[in-house]
Amino acid sequence: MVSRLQAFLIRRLLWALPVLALVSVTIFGLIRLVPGDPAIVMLGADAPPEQLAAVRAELGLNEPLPVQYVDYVTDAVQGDLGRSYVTDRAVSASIASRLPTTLFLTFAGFLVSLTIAIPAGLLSATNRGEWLDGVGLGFGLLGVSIPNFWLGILLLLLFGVNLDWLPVAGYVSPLADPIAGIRYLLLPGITLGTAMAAVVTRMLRSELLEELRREYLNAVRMKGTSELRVFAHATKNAFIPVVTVIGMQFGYLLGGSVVIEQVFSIPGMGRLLIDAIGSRDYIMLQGVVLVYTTFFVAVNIVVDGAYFYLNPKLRGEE
Amino acid sequence: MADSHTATDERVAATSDDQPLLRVENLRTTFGRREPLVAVDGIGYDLRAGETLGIVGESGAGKSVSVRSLVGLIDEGEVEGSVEWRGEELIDASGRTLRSVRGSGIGMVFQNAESAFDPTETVGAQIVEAVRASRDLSKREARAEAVDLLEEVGIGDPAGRFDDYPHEYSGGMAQRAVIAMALAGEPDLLIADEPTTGLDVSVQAGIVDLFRELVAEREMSLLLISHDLGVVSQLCSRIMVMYAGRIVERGSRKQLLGSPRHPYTQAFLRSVPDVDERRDLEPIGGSPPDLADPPAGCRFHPRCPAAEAGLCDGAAPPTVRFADGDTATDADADCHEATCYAYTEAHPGGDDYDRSAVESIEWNEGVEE
Amino acid sequence: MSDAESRTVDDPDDGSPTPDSPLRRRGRSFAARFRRNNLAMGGLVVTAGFLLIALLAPVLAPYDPTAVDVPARLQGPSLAHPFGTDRYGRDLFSRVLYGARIALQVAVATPLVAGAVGVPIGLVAGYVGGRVDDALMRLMDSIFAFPAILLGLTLVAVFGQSLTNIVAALGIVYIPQFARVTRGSAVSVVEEEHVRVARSLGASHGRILLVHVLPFCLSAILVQATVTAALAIVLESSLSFLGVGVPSPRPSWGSILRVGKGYVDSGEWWYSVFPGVAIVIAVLGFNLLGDGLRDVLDPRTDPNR
Repeated sequence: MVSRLQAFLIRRLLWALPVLALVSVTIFGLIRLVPGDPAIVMLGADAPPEQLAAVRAELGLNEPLPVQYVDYVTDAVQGDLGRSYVTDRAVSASIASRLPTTLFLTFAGFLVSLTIAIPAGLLSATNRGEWLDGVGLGFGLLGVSIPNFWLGILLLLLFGVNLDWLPVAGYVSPLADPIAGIRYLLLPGITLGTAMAAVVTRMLRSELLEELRREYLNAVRMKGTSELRVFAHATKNAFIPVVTVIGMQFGYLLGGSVVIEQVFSIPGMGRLLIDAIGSRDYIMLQGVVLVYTTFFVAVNIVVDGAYFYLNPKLRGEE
Repeated sequence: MADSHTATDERVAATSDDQPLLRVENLRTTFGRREPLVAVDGIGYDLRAGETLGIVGESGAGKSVSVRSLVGLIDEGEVEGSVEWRGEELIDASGRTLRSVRGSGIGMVFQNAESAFDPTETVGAQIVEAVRASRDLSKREARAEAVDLLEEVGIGDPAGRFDDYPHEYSGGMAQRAVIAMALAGEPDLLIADEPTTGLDVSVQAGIVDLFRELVAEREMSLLLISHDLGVVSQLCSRIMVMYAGRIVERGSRKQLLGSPRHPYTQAFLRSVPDVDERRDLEPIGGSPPDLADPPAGCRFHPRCPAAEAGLCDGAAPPTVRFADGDTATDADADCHEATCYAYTEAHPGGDDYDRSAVESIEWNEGVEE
Repeated sequence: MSDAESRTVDDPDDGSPTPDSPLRRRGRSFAARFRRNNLAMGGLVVTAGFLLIALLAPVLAPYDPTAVDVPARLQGPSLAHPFGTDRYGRDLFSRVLYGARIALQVAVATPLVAGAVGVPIGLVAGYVGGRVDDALMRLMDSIFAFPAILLGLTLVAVFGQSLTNIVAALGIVYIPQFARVTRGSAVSVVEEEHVRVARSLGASHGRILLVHVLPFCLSAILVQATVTAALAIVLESSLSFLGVGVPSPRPSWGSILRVGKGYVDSGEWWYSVFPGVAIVIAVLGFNLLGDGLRDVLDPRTDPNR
């Protein structure tokens, strides 16, 4: 007997497949549609014919398009994303070596953003109309108006160069050396996290304000409970829609990490992506985009599942 | 079953038969600052132990606001006047005082499950929260108590229902659960704010019966708000009629239903179906007044068949006491009163306004409008 | 004109050439509420300033933004060069001013492109409903689900770098927002009286959409346009920063910052600060305007609705 939550997750997975398919087909198609011979585009017109032929074979250009796609997908599911002609390494290997870095960075941003947003949102809502709220709102507005890469540069200038407290570039895995790892992730994490924090703060504030007007809170008061309990009830309820926003923001974090990796010279997947674009390494591009998409679809499903779980009306009887 | 009620026990001993459980004096609730809206305009009444008092009136008459003002639930408005619970002042009281009175002294039944329950917690958990807020019980004891309460209000399979969410309860059952939660603190006064509104008529009857049983068995006082006169007349021995923030008539059930004195009460009764008598319904003409800019003098005069220009639109009407006979005591709280000019000398009067029934008239002292 | 007059309907004697239509009345009340809203006015001022600067850049700029002056390279802010000079000695102040032109083009064109596709999709989805609605919105959600940067990057990588291509790419990124917002408004309007009347009178679907449904979606679309303008400026500058944006020598703020970052270590801070400030101001203007418009257009607070 499948619980409603499980049924829901299965439905979401089924939704995810077409999305992944759509994305991979689109990338696949777009790359093939690039005007001119992709091999020439990648290697240049004056590359030796054998190399061109090799690339064409690698890309499977001689096969009909659908076959190419199916081949690609079957390989991809097994973990083989092709071989980059530019770096001469397996795409999956390149990605795998960089993935943890990007994940750490994204997680750092996530952590920073929630650390700022939750207190800020709560304080803003409880002090509505007063200066604290104004600060929160202003921060929120500014947060969505400052491009994250510029914020990173400013932080770099201030803390890295002027004050020289934190490193300006590079990365150390927190697994290898936690202290150093955190030092290297601090500025990038703050940069990534701030914009998301602004969005989440705004959302939390508005949801909480709405929730605090609800009638059932009066019922809680009439039990003789403290105002803190009342607030706890309201916050718990207000969080449910905020969870979805947080999940959506993860997408932003993933995208933002690409830029932040550039700003702070962090060797993650984002760098791989940019390099691939610059060197027209379409095989790598395909693979990297596919991996990003998969991550992002996975997070979406988890978030939707969490929302479903938290909302008893949807959850129903188990 | 020995339960512990801390401070309330002492106060029970202190209350004598003479002192009312609840004394409301000149309660006034105002909203808004630039254009103040007076939702409750100086009402007062007494409620004694074991008494059942009903407040009826149209929507917007201020009934709900007035009871919320009693227990400090008015957030965006200002409450003035005096509300004494067992001699202790509740208006502007400290948080601690209010908390000790809520739940164990005064319980409130809200209009429906959506207004009373947190949708993300089980009903049982929320009743347990109510129990433990007022009584010193362990989690297990509280849970058992909650299940008992669910059973007491007539919910079948209470142990099973304990773990259900509010949206899984049907309308009538949910209302019973709301009542159970209000009883959790073992209150001496139960305030019920429109408890049957929105329920099917057949379900309503069950709820009314439930209230009756509970009031009898638990020896509670009941303050019932409703626009449904039928419900109020079934449960309340005394009734007050509110209009536009003021009490226009008060008396025993028999007095009010048998010989309504205020034109509004008379009109109200005519607009409601009567089970016994077959007659046409007469809706009350006009619409309720704008409380931000209410009519001068008697608030009802624009819609009143007996309105006299120059009299009813001047100062607030006097309080007319009627000698209806058959009152249990001579106390002020048991009298039959209406605020109306129609019973005064200056008014031409009429068939509906029997001046011979008047016992005394108390005029206001230059009340500002 | 007083409020009482503005409520006159079909009165040929009120002095106006045509009867006062409901749309006109709403237009007037909108203007009044707009003026009273601080956010909206603030946003309008900043955005108008941005617009003026962009349009008047050739007049305001003291130097030719492409004029190389190597001896003057990498100089800090001074009277001659308020924002300093870049690595080729070009005046950064002038480059920033000209950068506004690119930002303006992006800010104006992107919502147009995104709206041109998104609004019809939203209208159709909201009007037709059912499976079509589901399918369209699923499609929109799939695109919307993507982080804007990733989508933008990939599209530009494939299309190639030029201002037109970039605007096209950015436009595609923001189509789903317009579609959703339009659909939301359309769905609520479709049920209303005048639409049903028009349909029963035999009006064609196209006409109904255009005349009866679209006008009521306009306020939401307008707010979305300002939001998109702000996001587009940020996205374009991010892409330029990554080297995938408008190609040089056109001075996009993002690309200036790209080069400027290289000089962060060596002390030429002005290279990284001023273009960024410009971005923030431009974006802030649109965001304020959008927030203000949202307040002003909120039907809950509109007494005339």
